[in-house]
Amino acid sequence: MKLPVRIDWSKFGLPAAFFVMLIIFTVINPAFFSARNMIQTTRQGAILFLIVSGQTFALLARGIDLSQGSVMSLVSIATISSIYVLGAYAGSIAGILFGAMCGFINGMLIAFLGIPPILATLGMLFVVSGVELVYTGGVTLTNLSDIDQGRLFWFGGGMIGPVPVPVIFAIIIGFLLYYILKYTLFGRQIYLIGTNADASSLAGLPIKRVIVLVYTVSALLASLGAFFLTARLSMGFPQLGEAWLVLAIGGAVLGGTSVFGGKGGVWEALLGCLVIVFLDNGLIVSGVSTFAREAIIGVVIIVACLGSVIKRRV
Amino acid sequence: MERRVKLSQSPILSFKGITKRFPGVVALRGVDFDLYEGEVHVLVGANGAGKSTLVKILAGVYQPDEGEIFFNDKRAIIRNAEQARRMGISIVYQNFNLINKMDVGQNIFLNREPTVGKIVRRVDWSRIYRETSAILKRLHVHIDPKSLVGDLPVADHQMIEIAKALAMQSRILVLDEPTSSLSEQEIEDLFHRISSLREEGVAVLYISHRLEEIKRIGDRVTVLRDGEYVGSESIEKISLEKVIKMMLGREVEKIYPWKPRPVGEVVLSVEGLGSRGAFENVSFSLRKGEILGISGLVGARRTELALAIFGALPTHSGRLIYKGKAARFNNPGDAIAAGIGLLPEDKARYGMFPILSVAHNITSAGLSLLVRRFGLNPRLERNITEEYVRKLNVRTPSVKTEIQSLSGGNQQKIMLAKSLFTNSEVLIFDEPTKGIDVGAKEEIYNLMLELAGEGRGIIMISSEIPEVLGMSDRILVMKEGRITAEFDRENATQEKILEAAL
Ligand SMILES: Nc1ncnc2c1ncn2[C@@H]1O[C@H](COP(=O)(O)OP(=O)(O)OP(=O)(O)O)[C@@H](O)[C@H]1O
Ligand SMILES: [Mg+2]
Repeated sequence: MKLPVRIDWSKFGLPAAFFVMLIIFTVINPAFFSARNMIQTTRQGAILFLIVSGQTFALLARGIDLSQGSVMSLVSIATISSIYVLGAYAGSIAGILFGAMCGFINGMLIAFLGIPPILATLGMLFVVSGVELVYTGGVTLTNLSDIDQGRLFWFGGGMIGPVPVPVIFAIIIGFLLYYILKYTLFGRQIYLIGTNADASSLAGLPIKRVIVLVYTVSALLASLGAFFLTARLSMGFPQLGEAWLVLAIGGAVLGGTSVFGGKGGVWEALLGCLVIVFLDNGLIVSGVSTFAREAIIGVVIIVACLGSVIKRRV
Repeated sequence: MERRVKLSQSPILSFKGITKRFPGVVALRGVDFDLYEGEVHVLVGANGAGKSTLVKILAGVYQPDEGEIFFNDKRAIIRNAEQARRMGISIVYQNFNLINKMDVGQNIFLNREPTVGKIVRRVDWSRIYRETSAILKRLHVHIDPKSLVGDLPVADHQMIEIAKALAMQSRILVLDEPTSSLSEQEIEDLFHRISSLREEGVAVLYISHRLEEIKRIGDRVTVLRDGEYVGSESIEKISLEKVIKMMLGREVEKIYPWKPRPVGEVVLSVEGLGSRGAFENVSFSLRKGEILGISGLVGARRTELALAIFGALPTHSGRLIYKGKAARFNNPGDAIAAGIGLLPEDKARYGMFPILSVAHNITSAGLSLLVRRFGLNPRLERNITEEYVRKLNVRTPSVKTEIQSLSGGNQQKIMLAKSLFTNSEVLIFDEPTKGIDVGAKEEIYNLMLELAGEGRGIIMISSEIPEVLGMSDRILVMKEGRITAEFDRENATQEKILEAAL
């Protein structure tokens, strides 16, 4: 039986709010819309997008990844340390893989030992930041050779034409993730498992394998974000990831990914992180203080979470 | 049973011109409906006719788009469930509303826990468990008030849900398909309770797809079709055939369209299978093209047997021979890959992905069938799932609709489609027609015959003895984890089955 499907206007609410926000900030300070500021902001946005996408995988599987921030710090340190030994390219890959491995361990703890995601990843958060502090003593790692520094910096601070390098990477990765979630078995299985684990098990889905992969992907994407940040700074910074965890979860939820699993995706991740990055930047350009900015973004995220809880009730 | 309907008085509740729309569907279209004190009013209609929507409007879950509700002749707006409860309306929902992580007592007294103490008010746990015991005892159910709801089988959930509604002092009692998972004895007890509530002047609204119940319990019947009011009639004045005609707009020719068919070689045999705490030494075989009915009381461990064959429950003894070779399914994935499909009994918990689309639900157990060169093929998925929706006559705006917005019976049909999607050679249907209307039952039986005709072996577990008698080629009876009897179609009777089951 075919009946006309009504358009769901709620889907357009956030994009509309986003454009209104862009206009308001431009009116307050035209410098907001300058090429320089846009390039700077999209660079931040690209990095946040990677991290939010990673968190999205965990949320879709009805989990959460609290270790993203500390894994990012670890990747920063590990990347620079490895570059000392292996050179810029191999060192970077080693650093990123190091981060992904933390995610793999998260996944094993959750899937095979049955530890709830919130606890497993919280544990990982502490272990990783502990290891990292012992290793660095809290000191920033610098002193790359000129060649390595030049090669590394290109990934974070370079441009291809008018577009920052991380943005190019983020776009490619974004399409890849979209494809994975929508057109691969793995992607579909994440949604099924996140929606009803009991039914997934009776449908014969490889739940454990999917969970391990999900947390590996989450950490891998956070690590990529950390890599681009580290590249731009060209140093290993033990506090690199601290502020990002909240933004990662907040961005995902703000964009419309549900904390109850099974709902959301790359588009939602993109939307959420664009709103956060441009809001933050707009507030800076409008002269709002750092603390006030954090408070405002915090409020926006809480309102978004409320929205998602209310939507679920109805 | 004596019927005393005081229709002279004015109704306690009346709906006037109620319309409710959902995206893509008009669930109710100007429906009028009256409910009197001291009557059992049966509401019937095909799957998706709008019965549960009417209940949810009464419960304050949905607001009508048009029309008015009168309560004791006064216009009433029921804003939420809390208000409905204060008005004395208690409801047994079709999809249970129990909290799995709480125990039975906590569930029954949820949000209205009695307290003790004047200064510091504490929850009176001993009273909760005492009263829960009393309520359960009155319904003759043997469930420990302290057991976790999540650990109990669906049949118990239904009883607890009923106990919860009966525990409240209500003026209007609504039961939306309360008997779909109950045993005959439990139904008997429930009807007893309903009758005595009727004597006390409670107004009862009763919804069921088991039409024989209309005559047993009802005073009046109202029929809905496609969201429209068709008519109301007092029970003595109407025949079941007439009710079916009003529901479907057509007649159902034969309820059980069974025909003799050729039956092939053995495809699956179960030899001395046992699963600790569930069943022991179960042996039987299933032939190609055969419909093997398994009857028994609720709790006879038929569901566990199905799960064990399917690799979802560990076994400690015995073995399976599948297509002539010893087979071992360590998990459902193995069983599905080998060509076995299961329609589970508890479809909400073990079958449905509520927030996902109809299409994603149907394909969830056989995703690899959709993989083409570039991964999952959405066009293929849409085409195949639309085919199922058409074939099973599912009422849904599209295959992209979230399954949770379908009516209960239509959700069940999607679950059936899901078990068929994997193209299995052996199909295990655990309560396949629960919550499904008479017209659709006929279609499902025809489909089962078609599947058997293609040479598939079908195991049909059902608590409805007439269904088992009507559709099976051979019948097994289970009791307390053992097979107690086996009958050929010709020799089986209701009495013999009951004797073996009790
Ligand atoms: N929340 C909802 N969102 C969208 N559509 C809905 C919603 N609830 C019900 N519907 C639609 O309204 C119609 C009536 O559904 P309802 O649940 O009232 O049927 P029903 O008579 O109880 O059927 P059943 O016998 O299968 O339980 C159906 O087509 C259903 O798809
Ligand atoms: Mg219903």
